[in-house]
Amino acid sequence: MVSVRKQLEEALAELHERVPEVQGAIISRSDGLLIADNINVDINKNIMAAMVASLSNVGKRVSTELNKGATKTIMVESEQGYIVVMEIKPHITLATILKPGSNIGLVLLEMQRSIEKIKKML
Amino acid sequence: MAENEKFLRSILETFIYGTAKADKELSGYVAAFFRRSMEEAGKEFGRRYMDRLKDSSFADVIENFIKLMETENILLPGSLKIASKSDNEVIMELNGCSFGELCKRFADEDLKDPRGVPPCIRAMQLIGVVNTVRNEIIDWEFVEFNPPNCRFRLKKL
Repeated sequence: MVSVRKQLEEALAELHERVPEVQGAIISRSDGLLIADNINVDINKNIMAAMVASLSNVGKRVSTELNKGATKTIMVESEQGYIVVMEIKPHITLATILKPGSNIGLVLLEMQRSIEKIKKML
Repeated sequence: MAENEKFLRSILETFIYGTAKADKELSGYVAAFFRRSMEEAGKEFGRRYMDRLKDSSFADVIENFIKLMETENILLPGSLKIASKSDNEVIMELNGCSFGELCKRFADEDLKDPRGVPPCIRAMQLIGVVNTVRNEIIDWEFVEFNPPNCRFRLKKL
């Protein structure tokens, strides 16, 4: 039987295949636990999981404090690309690292497709 | 406990408490920053004892690490032990954990992780050790929260 982690990693690999701009993707919990990853760049995935958790938690707090309801997406635009974080379910997030010039609309759509699939595995 | 040891212990506890409190204030939970800090502390132990732990299985890393800690008088004999084990998980038992008072304070002051439980310092440190020695991702959860005599599960993902 294929483990849940393996299935999740396959879902992340599929996301990478559908959207080549995705350099890496992780599923992590809001306390920084790395659940699954598919990373194709030189990055410490445990540190990425911790940073994504912090980003996601702070984003939630900002949304709540400013009366904007639940956070849907957090995006960081940098010189060398983007980091996009989306919630899969409470306290579990999908985060991607993207190349510069990525088609963000397409990425968001494909991330949402992956989330629907991942939800069924968790 | 000698005065010097008491002093060092109080510094350690206030530092851990401060880390948890700051994380809660910044992110709403005792979450990634705290977990990372405790795991990194565990990793430092893992690196220090790498030669003596590297060929052990998941559960054996923990068992051998505890033995080393007891031999070096860092851990009181019997205060942390494996209650049961299988290939992918171990149940740990704490008897008079030295962080017990701190954990009670975490619970009283609502310093909890996103799952709504106080963070277990011992669990996170053991995860750091295993992660360094075996490069495995380990999760933890309380089986029983009753400081200083808790039980927790470490599970390989």
